[in-house]
Amino acid sequence: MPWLHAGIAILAFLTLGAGLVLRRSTLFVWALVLLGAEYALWLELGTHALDQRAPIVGGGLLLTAELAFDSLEPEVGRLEATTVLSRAITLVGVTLAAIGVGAVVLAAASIPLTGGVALTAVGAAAAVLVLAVMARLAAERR
Amino acid sequence: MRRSAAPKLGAYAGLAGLGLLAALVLGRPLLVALAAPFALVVAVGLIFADDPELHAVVRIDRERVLEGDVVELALELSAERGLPRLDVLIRLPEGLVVEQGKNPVSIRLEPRAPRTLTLRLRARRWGGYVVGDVLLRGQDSLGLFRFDLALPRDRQLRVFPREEQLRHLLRPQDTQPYAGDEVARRRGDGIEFADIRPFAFGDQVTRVNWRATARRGELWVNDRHPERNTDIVLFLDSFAEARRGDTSTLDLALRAAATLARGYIAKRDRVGLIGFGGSLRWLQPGTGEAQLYRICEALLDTRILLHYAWRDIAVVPARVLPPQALVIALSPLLDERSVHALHDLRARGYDLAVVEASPVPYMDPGRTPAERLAFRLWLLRRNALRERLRQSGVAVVEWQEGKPLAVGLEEAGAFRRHAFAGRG
Repeated sequence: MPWLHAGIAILAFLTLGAGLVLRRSTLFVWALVLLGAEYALWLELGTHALDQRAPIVGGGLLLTAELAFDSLEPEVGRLEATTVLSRAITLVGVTLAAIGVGAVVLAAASIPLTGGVALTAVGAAAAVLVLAVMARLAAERR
Repeated sequence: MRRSAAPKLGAYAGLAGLGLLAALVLGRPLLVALAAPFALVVAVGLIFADDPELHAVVRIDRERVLEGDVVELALELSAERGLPRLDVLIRLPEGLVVEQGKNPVSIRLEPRAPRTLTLRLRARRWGGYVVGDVLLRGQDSLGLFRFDLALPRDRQLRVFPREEQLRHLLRPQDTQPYAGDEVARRRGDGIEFADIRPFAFGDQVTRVNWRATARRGELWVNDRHPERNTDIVLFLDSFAEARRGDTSTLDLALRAAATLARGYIAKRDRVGLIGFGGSLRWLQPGTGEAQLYRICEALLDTRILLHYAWRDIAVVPARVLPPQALVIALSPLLDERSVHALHDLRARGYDLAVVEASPVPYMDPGRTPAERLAFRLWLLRRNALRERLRQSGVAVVEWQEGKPLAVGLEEAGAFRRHAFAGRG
């Protein structure tokens, strides 16, 4: 269903564009959700059980988000060269790290394990644990 | 310093959670590859988001400047932990403009490496300013947290009115008993020759005019005028002003007041001040640099306050208006109360001169014939007002922006010489 993919992609880009114009971070989140949903749909409808490009997609989404949120920063004149350079280095580092993490996930997903309720439960517990750790850290830093 | 989470933190956490949930629900482990980068950024950001311990101090190189002068403001910044981006906004009062430097500005602050931002500010208008209102906003490397710091306004800057160049000051009709630079009308010990008269018992031999004595056959002596000081009262009308943009008649009046105060105090005269307007303020006549500073400080606090109550000269304490003082009124002659007070002063016998800070350049003559006619009538009424004051022996000079004050004072001086001569 290429029209469906195209429709979601266009909607995502329109949402992203609206977020940039209206300077609303909520619209960025919805745009990223739509782009992720499109990828998930592509995975569901196709036969790409282990798409090798998933880490690149993850890194691309993160880069898109970073650049979009950067656009929301207030303009306070011309930025210093060192500020721009350090931000660029941070962006490259973060994107590479994201691709690396995606590659680790891809490698983990490619391990031939038989599924089952226990494994699913372990996965769910891991996901909840990750979110709980993040929430705890956020609470401590607040 | 206040720390707050940026919108990015919540957004990334939500995206990570949603991705993980979708992976579980759909049974697609690859979706974790989409969610994991966001989770990674959030986790790393949370671990390393420590308070940068930002310190900031504002300094100005001078606390007293003249209108139009440049003052340097330095903002010293330091932080224990580096800030990849620090937005700096120095909020400036209306009368100060940035001559050199960037404001607002975004900089990078390295850990334990103090940095100084410098702004050169031009004081465009007189007044008392409080500067140092600085807003700082830093963020961590990943942009998940913001650190806000607001510095209080605690640096005072006094901008005194620009002064005019004067060659001569108005000479008062009478002098006071103390020594000064003004030649008194009465006779006594002094330098200026006054007249000769027959010798009287007690006259010093050094005063004998030998030529007159030889010609007349009896002793004649020289009389001289002593040098005495004078009392000057600056009467500043702050009931009303005419304004256009940044300039107003009050600016002119204050500039004239500062110029006259400095000029008379340099001559060792005693100068007092009456701020006659919505708020009545006064300074008793005094002399010396301290008095000059007191007058300048009082001038800076002068404001036009809307006030409907009738006020006349009777509310001014008598000690502020010493007998035989020269009262120089600085007024736009716009408010009936101040005009009445000037007539009242003259009726009480005070030596009075009026420097009119002309409101005419600030007025629009109008476009329609009716408006132009009204403007002409208004001008005629002002002329009539000036004539009434002149008829009572008050020198009135019109002073406008761009015209030297010295010209107006010379006109007033000429009028007063003529008026005194006519009075005999």
